[in-house]
Amino acid sequence: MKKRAQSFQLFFLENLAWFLALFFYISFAAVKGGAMFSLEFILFMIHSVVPLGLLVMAETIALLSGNLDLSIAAMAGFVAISSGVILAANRAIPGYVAVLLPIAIGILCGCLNGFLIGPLKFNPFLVTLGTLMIFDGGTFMISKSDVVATVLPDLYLFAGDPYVAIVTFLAILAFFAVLMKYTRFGLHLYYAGGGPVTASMMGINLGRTYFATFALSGLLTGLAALYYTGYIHTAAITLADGSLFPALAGAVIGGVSLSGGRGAVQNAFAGTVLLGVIEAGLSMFAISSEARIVSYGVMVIGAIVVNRVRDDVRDRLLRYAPR
Amino acid sequence: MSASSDRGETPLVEMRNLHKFYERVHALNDVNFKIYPGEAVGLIGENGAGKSTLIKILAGVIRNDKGEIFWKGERVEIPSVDVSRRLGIETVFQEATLIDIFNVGQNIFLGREPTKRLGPIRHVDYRRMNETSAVLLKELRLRVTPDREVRFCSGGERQGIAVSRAMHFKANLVILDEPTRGLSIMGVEQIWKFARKLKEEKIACIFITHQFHDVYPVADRFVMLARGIKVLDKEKKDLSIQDLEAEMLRAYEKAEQLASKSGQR
Repeated sequence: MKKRAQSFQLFFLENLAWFLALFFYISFAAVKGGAMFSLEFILFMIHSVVPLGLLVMAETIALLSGNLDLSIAAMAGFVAISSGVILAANRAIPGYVAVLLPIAIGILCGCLNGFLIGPLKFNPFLVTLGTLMIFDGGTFMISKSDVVATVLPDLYLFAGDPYVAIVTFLAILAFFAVLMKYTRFGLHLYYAGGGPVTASMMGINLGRTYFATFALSGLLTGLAALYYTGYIHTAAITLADGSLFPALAGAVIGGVSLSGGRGAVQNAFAGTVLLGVIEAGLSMFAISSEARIVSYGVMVIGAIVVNRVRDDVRDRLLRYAPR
Repeated sequence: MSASSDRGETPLVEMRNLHKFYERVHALNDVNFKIYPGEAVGLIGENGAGKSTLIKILAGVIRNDKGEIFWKGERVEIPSVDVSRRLGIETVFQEATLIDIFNVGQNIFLGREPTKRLGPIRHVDYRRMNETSAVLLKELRLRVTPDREVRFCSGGERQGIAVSRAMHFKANLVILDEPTRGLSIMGVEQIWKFARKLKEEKIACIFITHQFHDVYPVADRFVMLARGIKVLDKEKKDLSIQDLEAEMLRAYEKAEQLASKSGQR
C-alpha cells in the first residue's frame, strides 16, 4: 500500500509539467470561459508550440549529455533562410527533396558544434556562443531582405496544417523518446552527462558521444526551421528569434537537469506545452508584449524553483524507499 | 626480496623491473610484482609509496617508463583502460567507479548493456539487466534492489555493486582501491565477505590499503612499497600481524636509506 502511494507520488513528480499545464489551462479557461474549451483552440495552442517543441528537444538532448547549446535559435533562423535561398534559386527541386534540405543543413551545423565540443574538447558554452553569432550574422549575409521572396513547394509547408504538424511532431517525439531510453547510444548519452569521468573509464567514448549529440541537436533544429517555415508560410529572418530562452525554460520546467544526465524528451515537451498554455493565456488577457517578456523571465526563474522543489521531494521519497 | 610465491604455475600478472618517474620523483623503482589466479594480495604502504602508481599502470590509466608486464605468461602493453578491462582486470577506484544518479542495475552494466533484437533494431534489454543484477546482489547478500539509485547506497554497498560487476563480466583480477576507507566495522566485514566470494569464484584480488588490519583476515600475501621500492613480499602464513607491524617499521628505515643513497629527496 505504502509502495503504491509512493509510486503515485513519483509519477506525479515526473509528470509535474503536464499537471501544471492542465492546471493553468483550466484556470485560464474558467476565467475566460467558452472559446478556450473548444477543440480548435486546443489544436491552435499545441500547433503553435510545435516548432518551439522541436527546439526544446534539441536543447534537451544537449543538456542531457552534460552540455549546453546556445546556438539553436540562431541556427534555426540560419537553416530556414539558407534553405529558402537555395529553393528560390532552384525552382525545379521537387517538394520531397526540398523538405530534406533544412534537415541536412541542420545536421551539418550541428556537426560543426559537435566537432568543436566532442573531438576537440572545447567548452560548449563558448563554442555555441560563437556559432550563435556565426549563424546570426550568416543569416543576414545570405538574405538581403527579411523574407525570402519565393513560392515554396506545398510539401515544404506541410507544417502549416495543424493536424499534419501535430501528428508528425508526435512521431518525431516518440522516435527520440525511444532512442534515448532503449538504445545503448541513448543510455551512453545519459551516462556521459551524469558522470563523464566514470563513463569514459567504463569505455564510453565521450568525444564521439558529444559529436553525435550535437549532430542530433542540429537535426532537430533543422526540423524546427522546417516547422517554423510551414507555420508562418514563409522563410523569415526573425522566425526563431528569441526562442532560445523559452526552449531552455521548457526543458528545465520539464525536469531536465542543467548538470546533465537527468530528464526525458517527452517531459521536456510537457514543459513546452506549459509555456504554450501560459502564452495563450497571456494573449487572451491582452497582456502587452513588454509585460510578456517580463513574464518569460519570471517563468525561467520559476522553472528553477519548480525543479529544485521537485528534486528535493523526489530525493526524500527515494531515500526512504521501502526495500 | 624473498621469492615467497614461486608456485610453479604461471602467474596471472607479472610485472618485471617496473620504473615510473614523475618529473624528478622516482615513483616506482625497479618493482617486481606478481599475482596468481585466485590469490588475494594486500598491497600496503604509506601515501606516496607508489601503490596507486602501480595499480594505475595495471588499470591502463598511466604507462610505465621502464619494465615489462606479462599477462598469463605473455608480454602485454596496457595503453588504455579499455585494454585493461578487455584483459579481464576490473579496477574499483573509490570515487569514479559508479555514477550516483543512476540505479544499481544500470551501474553494474555501465557501458556493457545487454541488448535484444526486435526485428532489425537492437534495443537495451532492461529485463535481463534487472534480473541479472538482482541475482548478483543476492549472491553478495546485499539488501539493495536493482532500481535503487546508487547515491542512496552505503559505502559497503557501493563496493559490492562494483564487485558484482566484476563477477558478472568474469574478471580475472579485481583491484580494490582503499576499499575500507570511511567504512564502519560492518562495512569492513562486508568487504571481507566480498573477498571470500571472489576467492570462491577464483578471481584474483589486490587490496590497496594503508590500513593493513582491515585486510589481514582475507589476504593471502602482503606486498609493501615504500618510496617506490618493494620492501616486503611475504605469504600471510609466514607473517603474524605483529610481524607485519615490525616488518613495516624496518622496511621504512631501509627505504629511507636506499632513497638517500640514490639521491632522492
